Amino acid sequence: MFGYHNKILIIDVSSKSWRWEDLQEEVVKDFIGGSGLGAYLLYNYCPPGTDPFSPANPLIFCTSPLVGSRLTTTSKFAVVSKSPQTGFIGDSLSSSSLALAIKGIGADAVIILGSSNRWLSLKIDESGIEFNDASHLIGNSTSMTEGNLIEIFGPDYNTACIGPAGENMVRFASISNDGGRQAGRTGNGAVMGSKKIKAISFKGYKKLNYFNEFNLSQTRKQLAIKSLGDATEKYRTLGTMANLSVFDRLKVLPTGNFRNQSNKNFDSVSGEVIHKEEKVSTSHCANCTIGCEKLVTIPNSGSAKVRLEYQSLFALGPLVGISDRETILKSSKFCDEMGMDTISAGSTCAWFMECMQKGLIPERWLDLLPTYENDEDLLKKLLNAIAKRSGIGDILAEGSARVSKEIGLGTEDFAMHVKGLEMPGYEPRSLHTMALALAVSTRGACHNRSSAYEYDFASSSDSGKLSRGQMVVDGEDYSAVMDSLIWCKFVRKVFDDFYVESSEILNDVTGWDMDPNQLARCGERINNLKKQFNIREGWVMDQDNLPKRIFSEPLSDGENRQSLSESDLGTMIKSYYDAREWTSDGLIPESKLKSLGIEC
Amino acid sequence: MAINLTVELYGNSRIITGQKLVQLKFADSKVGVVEVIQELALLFPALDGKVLDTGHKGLLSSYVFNLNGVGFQDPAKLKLRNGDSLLILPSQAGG
Repeated sequence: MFGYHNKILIIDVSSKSWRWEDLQEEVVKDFIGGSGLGAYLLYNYCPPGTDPFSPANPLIFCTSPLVGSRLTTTSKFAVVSKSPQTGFIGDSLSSSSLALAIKGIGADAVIILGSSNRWLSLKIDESGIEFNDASHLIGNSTSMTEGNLIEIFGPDYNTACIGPAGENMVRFASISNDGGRQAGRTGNGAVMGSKKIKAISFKGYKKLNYFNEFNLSQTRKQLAIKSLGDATEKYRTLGTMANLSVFDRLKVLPTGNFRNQSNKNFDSVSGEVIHKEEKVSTSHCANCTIGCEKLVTIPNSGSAKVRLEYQSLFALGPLVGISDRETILKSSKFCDEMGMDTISAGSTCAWFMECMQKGLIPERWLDLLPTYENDEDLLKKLLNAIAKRSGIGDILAEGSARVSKEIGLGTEDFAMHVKGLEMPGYEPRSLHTMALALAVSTRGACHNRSSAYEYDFASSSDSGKLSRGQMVVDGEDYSAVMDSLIWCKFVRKVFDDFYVESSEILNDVTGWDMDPNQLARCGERINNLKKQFNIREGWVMDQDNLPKRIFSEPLSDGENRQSLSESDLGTMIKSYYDAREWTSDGLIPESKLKSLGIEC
Repeated sequence: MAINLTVELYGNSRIITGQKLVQLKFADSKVGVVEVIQELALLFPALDGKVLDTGHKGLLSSYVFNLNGVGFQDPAKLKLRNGDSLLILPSQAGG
């Protein structure tokens, strides 16, 4: 098979053994790679009902057919496991040299099973695996860990590691690689911590053949040129932090734990002002021509830099009601170093701060709070406590959904999550297609698996007569294909016809004869399998929902009222289920599974 | 009747011009986006080919118009009135 090694590496850290299994061509023709292949492997390797922190929960690293092709933005990988935040499918993507190294050892995917009784650092190359003691790395930040392992193994090894948050099984811990890039959402770092794996270092240069190298070389050049055009201008200039001022102006920037009553001015933390007043440099993932990464030098911190994204800026700033730039930059850096998802960390702190203001936090928990001077100081101390699971942090490390359920007293209404995953920086009361996507997403409140906000930001004539349900289905299926091939989402507008061009590229890589409709069908199949996994793990229809605040507290600026009623969301959910050809309860009929070739 | 418009600049358009807001005054009330574009091109030639298309008929595809922060509309259908704010925003919403 061209483009694939046809191999999965399966590692058992309990017995410190490994084996190789064949990856069948019919599987990758159906699920491609990345998050699609990850969903397939999770379904088959995770026993039903497995606790996310059980040794039986597989931690899966998936590459894709495009990894190694040197097409722009394709050095990416997916990490998949059963999420300790949602109890459903958890997947997150990250990028750069680590993707090349994983594929370079000759694996299309690596599945890690079991749990060690002592901390391990895995060293994997073409000669085999070393299960090294990692006790000397425990407590180290992600950058220190990567740095230590470069010193020990040399710079040819690329490392995925967890920080103290992952060690402490903070439920929203991330996995870090390539100098601070994060597989951030759904808590895969906590799963890695539960297996007592501090780091995994890969080195490999196993070559692959491509079916039509001539065509690929032409495509490489064409895409590289197109990727530097208008379609990526925002990412190349200000990066995603450009969203903040725009969203603020359009009243779709959630503030103060989605209360949106803040009188604060967030101008000083806009991308435009940060670019003007701070030192900002640009960085690229391996094989990427775009360079969306903006590294901001943190004031009063020597030469320390933070890789700043809109979601981190939002979650550690406006969401917690903070407009102090230095606090936000330092908090974002801190989360990266500790290995924590900034959205869930910021959202959990925002929930806690609101509940404190409302007098809803039990006295016994307030006694665990460190002393603090102001909100900025409180945020920093809460993040520190969460990463180390010290004092109040041991409670908040469970995330806002679990903690609010434990307290009760109505605090659940202020926990801004879906299925246990905290909400990203898109206001659902104004962005109704996005609201639907957040409610029905298989991985919880997720902005990346549908890009549904694009419909809300488009002129009405662009969307034609599609129902919102159909828009979300189309966005999800398209995203599933992107996340499985894997393209970076920021290259999506570079394609004139995504399915036509991507199927041609996939055929040049593999020698297949897949047509655009078949590729689109892969996206549909992947999303149905993800949903079927969730159904198997106990999903019920009530979990396709949004936090109560979204319905009960409309937004108003005097002239315009933005709201979403529970019944309107219910109507949209019905249109989504209809578009998916699911039952009115959101279940997948046997006939639908069969038509997609999904065997359960 | 003359009309006054405020053009709000976001993203790289703000970086290039160094301006957040630009006040424009037109003698003729039948003003459309093409007239706004031509005026901006005169005031800020550096926007040419980076935000404004070089023919001065519209924006590059990397930018979109929004009227008064409320709705996204087809530029050809935009009806500008006295006191309106015309936003020039990056068209890529992702992140």
